[in-house]
Amino acid sequence: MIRVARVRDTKETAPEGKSSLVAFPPRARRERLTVLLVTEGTYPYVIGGVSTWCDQLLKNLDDVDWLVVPIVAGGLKREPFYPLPENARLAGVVDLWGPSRPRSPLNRATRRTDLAAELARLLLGWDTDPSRLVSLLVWCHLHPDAIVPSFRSRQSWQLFLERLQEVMTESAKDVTPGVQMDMATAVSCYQTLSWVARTAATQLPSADVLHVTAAGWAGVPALVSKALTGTPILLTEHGVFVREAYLAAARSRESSGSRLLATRLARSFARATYLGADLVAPVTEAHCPWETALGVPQDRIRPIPNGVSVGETISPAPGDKIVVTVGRIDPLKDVKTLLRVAGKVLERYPEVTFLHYGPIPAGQEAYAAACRRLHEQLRLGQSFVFKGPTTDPRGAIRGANVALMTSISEGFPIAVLEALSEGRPVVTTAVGGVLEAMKGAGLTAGPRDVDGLSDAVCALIADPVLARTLGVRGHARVRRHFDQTGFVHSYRKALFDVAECRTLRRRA
Amino acid sequence: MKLTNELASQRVRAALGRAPQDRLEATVVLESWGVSPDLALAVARPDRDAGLLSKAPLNPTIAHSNSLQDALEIAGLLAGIMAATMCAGPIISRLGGSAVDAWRIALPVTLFLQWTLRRYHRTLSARARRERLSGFRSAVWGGTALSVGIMVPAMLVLCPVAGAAFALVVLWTGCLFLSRRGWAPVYVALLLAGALAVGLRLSVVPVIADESETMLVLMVIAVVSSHRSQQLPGSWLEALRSGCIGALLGCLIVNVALPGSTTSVELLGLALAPSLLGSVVWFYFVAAFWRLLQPGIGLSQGSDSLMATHRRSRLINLSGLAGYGVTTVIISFAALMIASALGISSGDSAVIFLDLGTLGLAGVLFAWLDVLGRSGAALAVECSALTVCLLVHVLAGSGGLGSYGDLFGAVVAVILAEAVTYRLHGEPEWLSARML
Repeated sequence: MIRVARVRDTKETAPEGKSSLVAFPPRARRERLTVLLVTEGTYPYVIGGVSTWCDQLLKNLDDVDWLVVPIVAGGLKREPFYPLPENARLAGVVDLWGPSRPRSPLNRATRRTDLAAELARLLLGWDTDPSRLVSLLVWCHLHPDAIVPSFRSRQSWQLFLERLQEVMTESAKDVTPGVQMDMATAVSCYQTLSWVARTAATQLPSADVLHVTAAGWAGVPALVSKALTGTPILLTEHGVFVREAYLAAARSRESSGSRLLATRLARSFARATYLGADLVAPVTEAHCPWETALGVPQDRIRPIPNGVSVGETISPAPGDKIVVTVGRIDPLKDVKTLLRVAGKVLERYPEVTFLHYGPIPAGQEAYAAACRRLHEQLRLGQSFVFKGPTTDPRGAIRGANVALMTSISEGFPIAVLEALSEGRPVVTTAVGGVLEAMKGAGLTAGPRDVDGLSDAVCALIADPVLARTLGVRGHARVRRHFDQTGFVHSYRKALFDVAECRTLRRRA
Repeated sequence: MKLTNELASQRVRAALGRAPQDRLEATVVLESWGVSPDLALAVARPDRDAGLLSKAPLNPTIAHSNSLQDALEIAGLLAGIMAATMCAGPIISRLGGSAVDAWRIALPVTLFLQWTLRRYHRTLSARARRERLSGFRSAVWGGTALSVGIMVPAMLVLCPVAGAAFALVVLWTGCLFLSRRGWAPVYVALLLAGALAVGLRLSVVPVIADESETMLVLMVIAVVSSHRSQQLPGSWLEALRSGCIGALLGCLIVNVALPGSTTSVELLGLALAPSLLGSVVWFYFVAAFWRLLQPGIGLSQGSDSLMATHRRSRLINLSGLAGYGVTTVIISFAALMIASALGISSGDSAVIFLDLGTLGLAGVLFAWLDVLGRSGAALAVECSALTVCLLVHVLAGSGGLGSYGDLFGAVVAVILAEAVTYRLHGEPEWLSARML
């Protein structure tokens, strides 16, 4: 194991292993690694697969000191849903679009009227250099007081509009010309860019490794920190951030300008984070083509699939015919297809009950309402029940005959692994790393393939022996390939390998 | 069948109903059709001849405060001031000069507190504002303790001015708390009961003390019975800046509209009504400002749609001004006739109406500047107006032209504040963009 020595105050002499959320305990062993985990809209506030993954990682890598910086949005007072383990503490929260304001300017001379225009060019343009974006973000970090005054200057707004028009008319090989953006979208864009600058101004505590959980907003403070301190970055990609942004945009009914804003921002964040990451660890090999296409060299990609704890035996399936889905109510989870599949299955097997466990994330209230309307239109009644969020997803799965998932985009879903580890057959869409997870242990269909998915569910309902066989296979597969121990070991190795980059850089 | 670039392009167009924005969008669409990521990335091409036409409606989300909430809240505050002034009349006439001094202290302090609180909660929804009252538990409990321990003894024995000022601050600030809690009728009932008690020749000091104590109890109930909000409010620093605007406005009001022995209190109450209604009309017109940036307005500075928006924005500003002026003048004439019919008008009635009408307009303009994030400009204008008041008093003395010094100050405040807001209305898109 590589040892990363950090010289610490010799007065830190409290007993080893004791810690609090306020400050880490002094350590006798100096080789303990300090990792700063930057999350985005997930851990520790929101229930979901990524949060469960973070929870597992922090709890099981107890020889690492974790500092957690969540990036959240909406200006809400939050209580962590996941209690942080003893070896972790919250090191600040970045609240996008929250009420906090940076400090007032002391020196107006530092104001930079081309800041918004340059951010627009580097974040929204197609042919741009991510390293120049990082330099600009570093400037924002070094001049936090100048950000808001810069954005409030009239000249800044005019320069921004000029640059935005250049971006709109940009001619590039891979771009369809003719994007139209109106003033209302330009205003949103300007304000969004100010938040990018403010996110770059975030002060992160020092650490040995920066662990970023998405190649999006979470990458911004990490890239700045790396540029200033040389701290290496490990990027874990659950879903491909840029891909999910494009998927959302393709489905949206927004204008071409709004779509361009959302997708180009995601693309620039992803490219910059890929450029800065010393190691990219997608949760599935299915993400690799995207990462290489966006500039990550093959030798810096190391897929580390998720893992779950798995028992030795399988609990028996319930007597009733129950199909369970665990996942948030979100367009990416395609709950509408789930409802349609339920409708089709109920035509053939009216005695089946569908249970959906999962929260409605902030911002998806309209989608949830649309799902409820569809539920009424399909007259699913009590045969399909939205049970809301659950603190025991495995318990929910245990009470099922079949686990069903209809996502249009996935990484390496923990929900599928949990279903397999409980010995339940899975019917799912073949997206992301799903096939890799459940090869030979479930049935798949294409995304939005209502007939294919409902046929698969019906097959398992009609043939309990097949369901049982697939469940046993899944259980065995998780024990063999996706046990939590292997997952934790892979991450320990990845973190120490990445930490070594810094040591080597320093020596060089 | 081999997936060629041509076929891929057709599939993408079929799925999206338009050309893809770029190669990556084409890739995600192909992937969702079951094409492997490698192949999708290889064959996806943008449709360079197609152009990106979107039939979908736009849904711009521009950050701004809820102007209707602001309008209702400011109207509520003005109503509170009016009710409190009418109620304070009998008290002042009974207590004489010391009560006038208390009024002079209490109004700026009250406006400071009200504007601070209003700004602190500006970004919140109406429900969150109500729920955020629960954050003032300790302050209200502290106020109650302070009231019981200091105010009553001070009023009764030590310092009637401080005691009375304290009581008035409690009574007026309670207006904001109770109206947010939805208990405005209770507030009005309490004030009317106080006025009635004084009118019945009961002892004034115990009446004020009882009234303010009751108000504190109601405030305690209001905050304790509020749910806790999850929404975070704004910054105290900005809120305090707004509080200063309120305090300076209070200073202008007490200069201009100080009730004295020569002015009947009923007349003063009537004189407040026109500016109050004028303010409501002003906010009705200006609320349209937030609907200006409709989808489809071109980015180009010289585009017709943008120029039309600029013209509309300035028109909104002038309409607000005209609406306020017309409403206030008409209702002032009506109120003067009523005052004359009731026999409560005096020689300087018209001047009082003019003073309060002008100050009411200055107040709404300051509030609007504050909403637009120009609190510094509002403060500068108020300071200028107060300086003019002072200069006229110093140069012209207390008689003749000097007696109109306060009116001059109010007029200066209106002219300067309107000049700033008119200029800001010239670029609504810039104004929206800088509200960071």
